[in-house]
Order: sequence, then structure tokens, then C-alpha cells
Amino acid sequence: MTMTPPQRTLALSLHVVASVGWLGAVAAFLAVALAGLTRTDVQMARASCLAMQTLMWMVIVPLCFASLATGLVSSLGTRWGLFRHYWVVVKLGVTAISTVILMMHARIADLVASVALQPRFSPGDAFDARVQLAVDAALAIAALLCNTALATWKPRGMTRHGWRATAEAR
Amino acid sequence: MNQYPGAPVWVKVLGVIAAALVLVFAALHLSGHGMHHQ
Repeated sequence: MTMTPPQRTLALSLHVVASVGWLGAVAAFLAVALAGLTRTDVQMARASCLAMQTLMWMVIVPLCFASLATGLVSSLGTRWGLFRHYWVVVKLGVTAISTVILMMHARIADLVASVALQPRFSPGDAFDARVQLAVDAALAIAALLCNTALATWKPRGMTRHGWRATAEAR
Repeated sequence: MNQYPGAPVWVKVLGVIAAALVLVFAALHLSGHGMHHQ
């Protein structure tokens, strides 16, 4: 299925918005996580824990799935295809693995928020889990920057499937 | 028809980096140095 030029532009625009939004949301998440870890006052630590849960479920998870869905539509509806070029395959792999890890670790944000709601909460509570969320966010930023570089650079290299499809089309 | 030239260098380099990251991650978890939280 090949999309018309206006459809391609719309799909690509939505994909860029979702993907860059995802990267920005993770950067905000990392800033909030680090602010909660480095400050010693209870209010800041509690606010950080609750904000991380909100950012996770209201912004990061929806943008992650929007990026995956719009990326699939953009690749399948254009000549790039899903498995023809290595850069598309690698980008899809990084996005899919990031989505799985995100969903596996999203519940940690729930755990941290529930601890923060306890009346006797102190800034040292659930420290390991909060450090893990910050590390996850830093790794996610690295992965998403890698994806951004691939999408703008579009390095050469066709897969065996793409090579065969191109040869058959000639 | 020309023969398929194989994967480009950048794909092989990324593959080696990804394999190294997986090994480090597995080693950390198997040795018990991974993050622990309830």
C-alpha cells in the first residue's frame, strides 16, 4: 500500500511530533527524577515521585505508542518499507525494545508514587527504585537520540529482502 | 543480477555494541549487582 504525498506528509509529521515529544518527555522525567534524588526536603522528593508517575502514564507511554504506530504507518506506506533498509530495521528494533522495557519498568513509577503518598515518607525512601528510574530515563534518552540520528542520517545499506525486492522491481 | 553485498559496516559495529551491552546487562544481573527494589 502506497500513500499519496499529502498522506505521507501527514504520517511523517505525526511521527516526528510523537517521537520528538517522547524524547522531550523522557528528558523532563530525568530532570524531575534527579531533582527528587538530589534534594533533601520531603516536599521536593514527594513532588518528584508523584510527577514521575504522572509523566510516565499521561505523557511518555502514550507518546511511545504513538511513535511506534506512526512509524509503522510511515514505513509501510512509503518506498522505505519496514524490512528493506537497515536503518529502518534498527530504528524499529530500538523502538520496540524501548517500548517493552518501558512497560516493564512503568510499574516502578507506580510503586514510587505509592511510597511517596505514605504520611511518614522521607527523601531516602524507595531510593533504589528512584535511582533505577533515573538510569532508565538516561538510557532511554541515549536510545532515542540514536533513533533520531538514524532518521535524519538515513545511512545506506539494504537488507537481503530489500535488495531482492529492488532487483525484482527493475 | 549482482550478488547481495552483505550488511554495511555501521550495522556490524552497532551489532557488536548491542551484543556487548546485552552481555554487560546479563553479567550484572547474574552476579546480583543489578538494582534491587521491593
